[in-house]
Amino acid sequence: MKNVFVETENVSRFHAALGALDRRGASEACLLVVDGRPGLGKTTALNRWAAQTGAVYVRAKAEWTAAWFLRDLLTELRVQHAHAYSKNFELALGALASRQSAMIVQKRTFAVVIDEADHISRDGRIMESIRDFSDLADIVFVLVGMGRIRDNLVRFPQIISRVAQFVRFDQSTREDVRRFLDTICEVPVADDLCDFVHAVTEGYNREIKECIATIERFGRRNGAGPDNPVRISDMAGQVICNARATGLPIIVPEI
Amino acid sequence: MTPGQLCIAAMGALGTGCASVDEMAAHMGIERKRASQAACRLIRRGLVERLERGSYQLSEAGRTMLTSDDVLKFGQISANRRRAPSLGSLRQRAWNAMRLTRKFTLADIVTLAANELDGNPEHNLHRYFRALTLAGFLAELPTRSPGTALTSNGYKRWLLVRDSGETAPTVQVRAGIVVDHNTGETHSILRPGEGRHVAP
Repeated sequence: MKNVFVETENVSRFHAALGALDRRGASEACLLVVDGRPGLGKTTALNRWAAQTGAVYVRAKAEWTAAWFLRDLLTELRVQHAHAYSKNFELALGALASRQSAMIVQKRTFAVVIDEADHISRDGRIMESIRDFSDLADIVFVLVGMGRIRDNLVRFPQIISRVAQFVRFDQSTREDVRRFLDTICEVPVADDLCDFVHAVTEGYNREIKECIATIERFGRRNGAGPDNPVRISDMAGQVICNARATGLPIIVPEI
Repeated sequence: MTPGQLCIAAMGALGTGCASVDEMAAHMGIERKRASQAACRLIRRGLVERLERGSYQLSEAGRTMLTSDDVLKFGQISANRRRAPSLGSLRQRAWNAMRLTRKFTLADIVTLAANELDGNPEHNLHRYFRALTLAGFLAELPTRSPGTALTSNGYKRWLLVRDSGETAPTVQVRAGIVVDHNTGETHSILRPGEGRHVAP
């Protein structure tokens, strides 16, 4: 399997939302919410974006408090934290603002990515701290979660009004599956097998990659090439991946 | 005029006051671009400071240098003062990805960090990983990640054990060191007892 990142429609939507955020009308609307079920490539997409742009990335913990959040943020910013919450807030604001200034000079978007943000989306104190950072220094926060953020934020009208963009990661389309097969699979795959992969994986990236590993092994063993792509009939009787819902193996049918 | 001579002329053009790039270029009778390059070179050496965009003056060190009999030498700057990698370089992006993921395979980092403009990211990062491991930034984990190929031995997994900051360490092959720009420290990548460096 090739080590290449696949730009799916979800990723394109995320980049479009970032572009729209840059052109936002209200400067205080600095929040971007990315949500979707597990296994759709949210964390990989956000990790890649953070690695490419130098964004700050923190992972929320189940028991995060506002003070713990600030300490983790300061650790990520390589700033020695103090004891008082007010002092830590001041230190974090200063460090974020200076990083943002350095990025603006280079015409880059600076943001803080908070992964697993479902843990904090019901915590008023943490969300208010994020709102303060946004209001005081126009710092962009990207909240990544598994679908509960949007509902939880409804409780905080002053915060949900600052969400400039919502991006929902959906299951991959048939075109996305084709893109996966064309980009990272090292053997050519016929359209009928592509349709089968799309159907059995329900468009979940993890399962698609599992299928690709199986197809690749099969194709290499059986001499697949540009004139002889792997077809569904070739793989009849092979286990292609495990079903997400049941964990049972999925066997390619005889056609 | 050599770049060194240009720099000396630029210091003379600045004198004790401040001047813009255009004024320096007019004083030295050269193109504006070359005057700007000389100013940048002097800023890197700490002899000139930028008052604002396009306006320069001699720093304290520059004024001392101008009045003393010291000879201004140009050429390769010392190993420890090498510049940090640019934010967009493959190794900087890879370092960012390592800090995000902590535990990773080479394939994980290539997927996150490489883009279509990078020539051979696997080869480049393989050498980078080797140097970082010898310098003590990375540690190899005992278990491998399973490979997808039929006879694959799997992929080595690494752990980032020394996260010194956001700037990626740079490798200096000839000097046999890795420079940590966050702390200013250097770490040897010479093989113990051999006095021979690897080729990262």
